[in-house]
Amino acid sequence: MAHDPPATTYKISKDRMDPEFLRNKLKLKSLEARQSLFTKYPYVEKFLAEKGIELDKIREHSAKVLATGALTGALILTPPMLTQGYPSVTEIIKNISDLKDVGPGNPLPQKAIIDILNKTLPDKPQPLERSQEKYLEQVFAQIMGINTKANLEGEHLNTTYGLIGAEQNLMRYPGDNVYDMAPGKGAWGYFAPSKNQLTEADIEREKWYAVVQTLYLPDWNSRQPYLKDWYKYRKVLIVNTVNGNAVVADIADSGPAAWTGKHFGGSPEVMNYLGGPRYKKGSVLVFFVDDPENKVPLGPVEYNQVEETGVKMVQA
Amino acid sequence: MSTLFWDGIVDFSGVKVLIQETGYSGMDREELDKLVDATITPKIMEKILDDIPEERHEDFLVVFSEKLHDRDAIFGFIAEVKGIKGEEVEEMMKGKLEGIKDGLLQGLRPRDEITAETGVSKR
Repeated sequence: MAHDPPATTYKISKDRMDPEFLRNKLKLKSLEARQSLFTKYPYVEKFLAEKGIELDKIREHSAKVLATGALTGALILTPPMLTQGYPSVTEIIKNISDLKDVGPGNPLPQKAIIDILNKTLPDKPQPLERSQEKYLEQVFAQIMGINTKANLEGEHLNTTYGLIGAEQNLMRYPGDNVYDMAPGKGAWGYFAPSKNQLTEADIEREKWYAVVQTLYLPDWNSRQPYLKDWYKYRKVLIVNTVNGNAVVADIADSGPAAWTGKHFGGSPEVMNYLGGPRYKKGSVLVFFVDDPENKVPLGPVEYNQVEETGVKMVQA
Repeated sequence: MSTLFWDGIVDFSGVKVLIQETGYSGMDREELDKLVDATITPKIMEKILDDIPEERHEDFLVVFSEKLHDRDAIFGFIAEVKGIKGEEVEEMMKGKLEGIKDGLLQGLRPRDEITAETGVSKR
């Protein structure tokens, strides 16, 4: 391999990254890394080949292992066992209704959500059991008034409980220029073909956008273009599991890369509502919003002030 | 969910920024994300193998192939082999991953060559 002359030093370019340069460099780096491993430990290559593990498809292998584990778990543990010990949703609602001092701005419903999440969720973000997800769907419907599904029309995210990270604003149309904007488009392209054609709906979609890891869905490549269309601007309910803040967002980008350690992303507005201006990362629940008539607005869910079936959240 | 045991141990946001700077989206960006995985995983495997006795290498590969998502399982194995605590393994892995990240970042930034003598760009 050619080396630079010894008298040569470098300075970092502050220019925009050339995509081809980066792609070629990464390809080279990955090849070098694999070659180094296999040269030093030749039996690793043989072992991985026998197991059918390809290092450049390592995430797919991990997803398969996890899916197999989840299926085994589901067969061993029946749903009633998993929800044993959780308060019933009816009981929770009754407790909230019975309290006399419920009123506008009173944090009781939100406190109820926080208590439920503390009792229901594992310490670390991980895929939830189906029964846990069904239970949370009821909680969200009854307390927040939002119909959600972990599994909607047969589609399910790889996890409904994970870490969300802050994303930048997305370009809404070619030439758009706002503060803290990502240099590229979202995975579904521009929200509008031009500034003149930008609608209020487009503005709201960008403002309250979410990012999910469609790239790691096991059937993402085999079920195109159906899945890409299905996920485009699909509404999700995002709930901060620490403070109970909730927001309805639309999926407008794919990511984040799993090596970031995060599972979801949120626009600056989404993150600000979930945890404040300094909130950059935290654990959340993400469920699809079941909204066939497109009636649920994007944005904050201020469920301390809503009245729901059977629950009077606002004092008369 | 697609998780690897080393996810989130160190902050790879510098690499993320480089990828964002390309302006790529969709499948193009996903390809770059996957190349990062394909670079980090063999490197961390090599570093772990360097660190444990050769007679336990096959055991590690078995744990890796079956529990590559499970940090507790991988770290537990390393702790048992090396006779150290789980927290020490975490610190050790953090150091190794920081090194991998630094090497990756240094190798990925486009560099404008300048001579050591004059400090002037060759361009």
